[in-house]
Amino acid sequence: MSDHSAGHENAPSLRFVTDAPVASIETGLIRAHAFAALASLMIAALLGTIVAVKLVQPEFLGGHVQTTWGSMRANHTQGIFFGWFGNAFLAFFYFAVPRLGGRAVMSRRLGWILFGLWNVGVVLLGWVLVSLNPANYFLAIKPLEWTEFPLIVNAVTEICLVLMALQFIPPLARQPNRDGMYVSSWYILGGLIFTLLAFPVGSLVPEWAPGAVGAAFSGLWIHDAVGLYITPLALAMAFYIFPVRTGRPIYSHFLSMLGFWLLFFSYPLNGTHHYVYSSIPMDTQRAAIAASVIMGFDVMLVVFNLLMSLRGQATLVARDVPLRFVWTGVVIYLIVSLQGSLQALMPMQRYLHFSDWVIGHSHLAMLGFGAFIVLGGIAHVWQRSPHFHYHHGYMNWAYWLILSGLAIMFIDLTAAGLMQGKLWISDAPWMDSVRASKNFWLIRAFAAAPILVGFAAFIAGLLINADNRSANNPRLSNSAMQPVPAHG
Amino acid sequence: MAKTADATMQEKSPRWFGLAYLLIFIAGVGFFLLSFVALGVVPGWRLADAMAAHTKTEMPDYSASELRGRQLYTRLGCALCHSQQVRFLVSDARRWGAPTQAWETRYDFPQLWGTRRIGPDLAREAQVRSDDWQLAHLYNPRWVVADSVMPGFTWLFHGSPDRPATAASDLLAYLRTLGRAQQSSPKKNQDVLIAADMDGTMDMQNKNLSSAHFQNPNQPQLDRTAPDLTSTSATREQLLARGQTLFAQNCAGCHGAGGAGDGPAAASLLPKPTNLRQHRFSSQGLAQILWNGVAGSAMPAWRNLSIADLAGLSAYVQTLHAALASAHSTPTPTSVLAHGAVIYADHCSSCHGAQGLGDGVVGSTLLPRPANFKITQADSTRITQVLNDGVPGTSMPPWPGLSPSDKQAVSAFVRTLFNSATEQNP
Repeated sequence: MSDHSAGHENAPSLRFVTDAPVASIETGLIRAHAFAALASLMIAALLGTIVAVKLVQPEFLGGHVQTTWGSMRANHTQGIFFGWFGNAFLAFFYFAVPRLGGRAVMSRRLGWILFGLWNVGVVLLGWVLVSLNPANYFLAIKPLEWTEFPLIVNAVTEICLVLMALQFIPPLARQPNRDGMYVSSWYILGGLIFTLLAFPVGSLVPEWAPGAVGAAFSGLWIHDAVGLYITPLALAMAFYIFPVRTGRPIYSHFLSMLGFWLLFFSYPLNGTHHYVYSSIPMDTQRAAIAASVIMGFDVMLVVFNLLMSLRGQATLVARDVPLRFVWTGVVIYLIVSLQGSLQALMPMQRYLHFSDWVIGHSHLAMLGFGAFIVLGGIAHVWQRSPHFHYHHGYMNWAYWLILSGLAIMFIDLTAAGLMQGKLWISDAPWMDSVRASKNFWLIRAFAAAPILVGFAAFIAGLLINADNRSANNPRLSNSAMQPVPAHG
Repeated sequence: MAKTADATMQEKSPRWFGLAYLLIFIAGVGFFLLSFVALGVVPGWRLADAMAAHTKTEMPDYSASELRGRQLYTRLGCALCHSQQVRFLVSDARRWGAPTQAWETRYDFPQLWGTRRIGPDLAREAQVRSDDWQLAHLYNPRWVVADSVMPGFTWLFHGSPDRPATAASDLLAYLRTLGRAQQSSPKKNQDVLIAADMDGTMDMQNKNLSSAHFQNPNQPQLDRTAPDLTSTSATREQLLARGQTLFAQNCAGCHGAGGAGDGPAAASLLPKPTNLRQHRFSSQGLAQILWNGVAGSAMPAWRNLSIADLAGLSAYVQTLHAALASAHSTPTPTSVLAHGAVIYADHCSSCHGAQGLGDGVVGSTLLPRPANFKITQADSTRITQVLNDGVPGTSMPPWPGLSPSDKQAVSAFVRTLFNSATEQNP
């Protein structure tokens, strides 16, 4: 094996974890982005809760365009996507990129400009415009999934994506850390560049291309948003955190390679599976379904590789909350991806498309897979950064609360989807499916409570200090307590 | 310390330099382009061809008002719960009609196919419901669909559904376009253009789906046939219990909880919902009304309910009539009836028909159709009210030229036309 396989089995050393030099870290930006992420998470989750309540009590907060279901739903998904995930990834990049690249990010000044633009020009402007609901073409909400924010906000977003590429790609690409866990670097590079290109396509082409043609491009972005933005960046965190927290290498260099390339090959070709049985050419639909199945196999490889890296570490996973968050996210990644491959198949699409099954699936992906890994990532950053507060007990509560809320919601929505699909193929009037859904929607609304409390506990865990920051992880206590620069 | 790190790095092999860029190029740019071409551009060309093949079809672009309405539809998030895409599936086509073809979406910027259905698909919504129904539904969906979870859009109105602001009128105009092109297109243009990509079974199925005659089960139709609702094995108690539930779910919003025609939506509908307490219906008559709806009014058809449910509903509605004791106690003298018959022949028969079947020469051109006195019998008070005031929203005028005794006579005559033999005995 060459020196470049560091971070893997048989690599010469894991200096990265132990004593590799680390470039200077922008601590202020880490804090700012992480708190912006968590504030967005709370707001977006509350919006999601309100939307869930409205399905049970339609008059709740009704009668105003600012609080109507459609506006709040768009703000929920876009808030999660840009406010929560966008900021959380940025916080993690400021922590990890100097460690992965052995080189500081391009510019602190650029960092603060990006912070301001992202939070004011994307998240806040987007939320405000969606609430105000102006009619102007550039300021109006778009009916396109995962890019509901108005075109003007999309323009700012694209500028930010360029700035992100400028900020993080050069240190990773120009100056690789020999011992760095390059799998993480790869996923960050790939995810940033891909999203930079895919986002404008998803946001603009359907505005210009007529109906069915536009839908073909919408389908691309609907999948790319999750598959080429959330997924690679969350996986970059998992591939980073597993070896750092266990002090053990990633199981297989070969599987890391294969998993990465198969992901970037197959994920983008999934898009049309959102429009099965539509007038988009049937062979395109079938190709996308085939790619969805390949994606399922790819995820098996990636998750096998990740979980094998934790062989014999069960007690550590159980004890170490950040690692447990990420481990859970990885396991859910497998579940949600296999579910995705299955539901892309035509016999499943017949019954399940348009139903709550898909809503359960998307929450399993964004909350179960994406958010669990990102929460673990933030907890890791906090625990390993000197002078950052960290509270093991609150984190542990957060983990169990969020997980139980998610489990209730997922099972409930999956059951609701099966019921809806069954009624829709029957002779029953449409409204029978709405009436039959109401109890499921009631349970789903209640499932928001543990999730919201869990998020609050997590935030408390970052604000309140406790002496036990390393007590649960004696193996790494030395490096964790070292003064600047901290490792891993 | 960072500086030292930099210095150390400088000495390392530069091989990674190129690899990282290659990686970015292939994973980021290359695979993006691959998907862009394979799933976007190439199918896009073929869809554009499919659309071009239909350029001869009469398909008007959206008017300014319709376009504003469409934009409102997108901004209010309607597409989040209502798909506009009937899939190439029997289960979809049975509910909404012919599958959505690419050429129908020619003027849709951006597309509104949607990926979720909480409410029904709207791709074929034009002509299914009356305008006053749509406006009442936009104002407060629960006024017309009791269990709806759709938000009301009250801010598009000046205080009530019959006073829509421009925005609501635009939205209504847009709703009228949904499926318009498909409905007006000649049959030859409904060939399935994706058929070449399909296997034999799917191909056959789709051709059938696209060419089969379809009418939305809630869309009123001018048809006299209706299934027989009286031959049911259910007991009377079962029928009434089921009917009561169905009435609350589907009818009470307009006809009122007690059937008095005073539901929350009633005030904004024109013509007003029938006061079911003032009317007797024959079973055959109710079957016709429920099965076919009342074209020209907000009364939808209910062909999406099962025959057993319609039987229950019919039985329940018949119990709502609060018969006045006096109406039956005093038989009307034959001379009065004869006088009524003369007045009827002079003034009423051209619309209501010689036999009172609502099929007069003029009547069969009107919407809603004139009342059929054989299947509906209004109370005398109601008939007097109609003769005094007419029926707003219909062609029935007031009759100020008739004296009170004339009105009484024609009222008595009209009531004799009711065929009570077909009424189910309570």
